[in-house]
Amino acid sequence: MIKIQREDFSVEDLVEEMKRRSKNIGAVVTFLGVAREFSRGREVLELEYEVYEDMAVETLEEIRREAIEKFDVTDVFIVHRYGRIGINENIVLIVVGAVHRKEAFEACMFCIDEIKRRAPIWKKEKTKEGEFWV
Amino acid sequence: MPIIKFFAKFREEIGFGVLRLDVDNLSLNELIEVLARDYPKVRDFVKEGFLAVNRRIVRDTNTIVKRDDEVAFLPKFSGG
Repeated sequence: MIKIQREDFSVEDLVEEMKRRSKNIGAVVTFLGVAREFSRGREVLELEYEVYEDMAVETLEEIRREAIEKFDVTDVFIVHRYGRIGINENIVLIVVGAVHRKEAFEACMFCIDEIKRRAPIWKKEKTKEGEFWV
Repeated sequence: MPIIKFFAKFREEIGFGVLRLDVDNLSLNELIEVLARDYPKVRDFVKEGFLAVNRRIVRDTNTIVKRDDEVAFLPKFSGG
């Protein structure tokens, strides 16, 4: 499952959904990216994410498929938000379900690294000193 | 007419997100030069970021752009 959405998401609901994917899931690993207050020495008031939606959906789907094949995990969910995101709010969630923990951790790390490297998504930091695309 | 898209920092710098160009069968290099006549900033965009044709990153600027293609100027990514 891949989702690019403006609204917030429930980590718990998605973990429950992953557990229901297979009776053979023995490990669920999640990565949750959250908006933090300080970045590069500046106080951040709010973030704004922009996304090239059609391309981002294709890229995230590709990363998901690669993670499932490369690490032999059961399933991967990726949710990324866009639009205005306040401090402490959720930005991105990766949920990996697998038979064992090792491949679940590895697949989760692979997904977030590849999202940062390949997904056409951009972050703007709004600070007291001005707004910056980072 | 190929559709040209600009995102994030590039969209703000050029002042719009989408443009239609009345050309066909041009290389990316030629297309960049056509755009640069009105918007010289696009030359910097090419140096600074990536180009995508039909939602795929393209590094070879000799790639031919056809009438129905979608070309996007993408700043360096900062998702996640």
